[in-house]
Amino acid sequence: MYRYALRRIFGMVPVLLAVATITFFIMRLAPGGPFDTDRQLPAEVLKNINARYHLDEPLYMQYFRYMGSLLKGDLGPSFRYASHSVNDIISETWAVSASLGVAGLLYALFLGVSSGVLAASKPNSLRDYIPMTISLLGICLPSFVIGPLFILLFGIILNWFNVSGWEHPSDIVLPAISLGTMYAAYVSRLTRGGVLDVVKQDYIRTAKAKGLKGSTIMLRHTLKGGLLPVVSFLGPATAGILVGSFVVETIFNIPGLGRFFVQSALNRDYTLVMGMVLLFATLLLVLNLIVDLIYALLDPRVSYD
Amino acid sequence: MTRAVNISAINKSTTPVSDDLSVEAGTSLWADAWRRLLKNKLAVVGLVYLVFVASVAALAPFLTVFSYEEMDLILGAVPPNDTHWLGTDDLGRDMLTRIIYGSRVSLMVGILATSVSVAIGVLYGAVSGYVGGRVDNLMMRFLEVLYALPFTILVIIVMVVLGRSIYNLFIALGAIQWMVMARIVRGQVVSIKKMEYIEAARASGVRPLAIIWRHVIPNTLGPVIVFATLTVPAVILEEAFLSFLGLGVQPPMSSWGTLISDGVSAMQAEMPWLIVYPCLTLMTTLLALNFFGDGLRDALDPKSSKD
Repeated sequence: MYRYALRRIFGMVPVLLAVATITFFIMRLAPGGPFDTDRQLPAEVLKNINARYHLDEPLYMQYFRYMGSLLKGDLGPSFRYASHSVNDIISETWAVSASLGVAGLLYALFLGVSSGVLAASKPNSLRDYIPMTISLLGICLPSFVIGPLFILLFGIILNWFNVSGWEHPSDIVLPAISLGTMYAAYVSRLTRGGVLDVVKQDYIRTAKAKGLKGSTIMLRHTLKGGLLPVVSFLGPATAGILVGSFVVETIFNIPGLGRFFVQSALNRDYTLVMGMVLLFATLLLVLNLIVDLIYALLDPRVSYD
Repeated sequence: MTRAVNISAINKSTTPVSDDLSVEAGTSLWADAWRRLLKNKLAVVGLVYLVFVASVAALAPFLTVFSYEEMDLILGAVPPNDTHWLGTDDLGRDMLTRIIYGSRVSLMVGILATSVSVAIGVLYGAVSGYVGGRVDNLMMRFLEVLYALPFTILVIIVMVVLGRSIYNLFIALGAIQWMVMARIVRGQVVSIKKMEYIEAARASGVRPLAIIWRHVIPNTLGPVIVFATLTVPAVILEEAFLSFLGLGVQPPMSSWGTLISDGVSAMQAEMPWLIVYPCLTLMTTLLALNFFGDGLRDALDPKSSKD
């Protein structure tokens, strides 16, 4: 297991290099550049700017220059936010996005697993239909629909929360719920499905025959196997929450990392896009490794050695 | 004498069994599943609603009175009334018409992108999980490279490099969704391939691809169908997300996604009908999809008893 984990961690290096390479060249394939503006810049100015950011060099030279500084941990200067390096931008904003994302994910997992277990404990009854109907509605509530609705209801009509900015601790509540609700609904359905699959297994019947209490069977035996689909879903859910932060941070005016992303891609801010892609890629790789390790812990049939 | 009795007893006991067997052979998995599906009221309601929405979308030009793109700036935004049942948007376009035309785009994106993702994902996941070893490692590493590219940049780049069109949209969405499917299928297959019936098939000399096709994939169908029913709404929602960022279907075309994002921006201007009706259409369709998918899941599960 440890050897497997170590091997996977070393395996991340070529993956990240490949990601950096693919992103670098695809970004350059897209038409337009970082200094295209509506008004035409004088040729001299443009030439100076291009020389300063090495955009006048052949593409392969730029590529090796970038990869060289990347290996030293330097993500380069931002093209659009002059006098800011990409490292600065990321280190100033990542904590805000991370706390928002973790809050959203924890909310989704807690609500999803508990309601899924509730539903599966008595299938085709009211206890099943009510949480499942709510989760069906939840799946239809992406962050860009629930966010503005929350602002309208809790911010403007009820005036319970501040709807813009990031100063008070309670400012995290609405964005995190907006971000997590859809994933809570998915987790809830996956939990129900997983638990119902496991309930039919022989070892659950054995546990029942031993006379264990229903709650003990659920917590000690059923959930272990029943949560496997949820564990598989953690990777995509995190990716989704990451992407969701682009919209939520814009809607709630939160000074996080996410709101830079789409804008920097549209601006062709090559270095900022690259830096964020690499950050997200590392995050997802580490998370997928954790997911696979948890999978092996939960399911004794899976072994990696 | 006793011997004769015994033989007739054996004959008697075998005849009904073989009769049963021929009956069993007559009902295929799918006929059986269909019968069970029809008993599930919610699933039938969902199916009927989906057929209704799909036929309205298909027959849109014959059912609508107004144009979905012609503006009437003098009329502007009016609340629902006798002429415009669901009101008009701020450019004076009939909302009902735009929702019906939007359903064509949304349903098409949902169905096509999901089919693409299911086909690629199931095959990829099944092969990777079943073959195992170095191949599995390589295929999963490749998936990780793709996976690690955040979806938005992939789509933004596809849309920017290839141009914003509805075909690029569903290629981009399908190309992303299959990865999730592949991982889920692989996870299932890793457990399934250790089952005795797979070993039995291998021992009797069935070729690996045949085992994957006949024995492994059918046993992953439950989770695949559940996830595919989650994928259709997910794809429709992702299309809406892209529209929200201005990267989806381009005006004057509308999809439920663009209608909702228009509605969101109109919310402050006290025109709630612009957000309520597209949301309702989307939500009821997604609900129907989910009811139908759940029913299909229960009907297809080979482990559930034959009522």
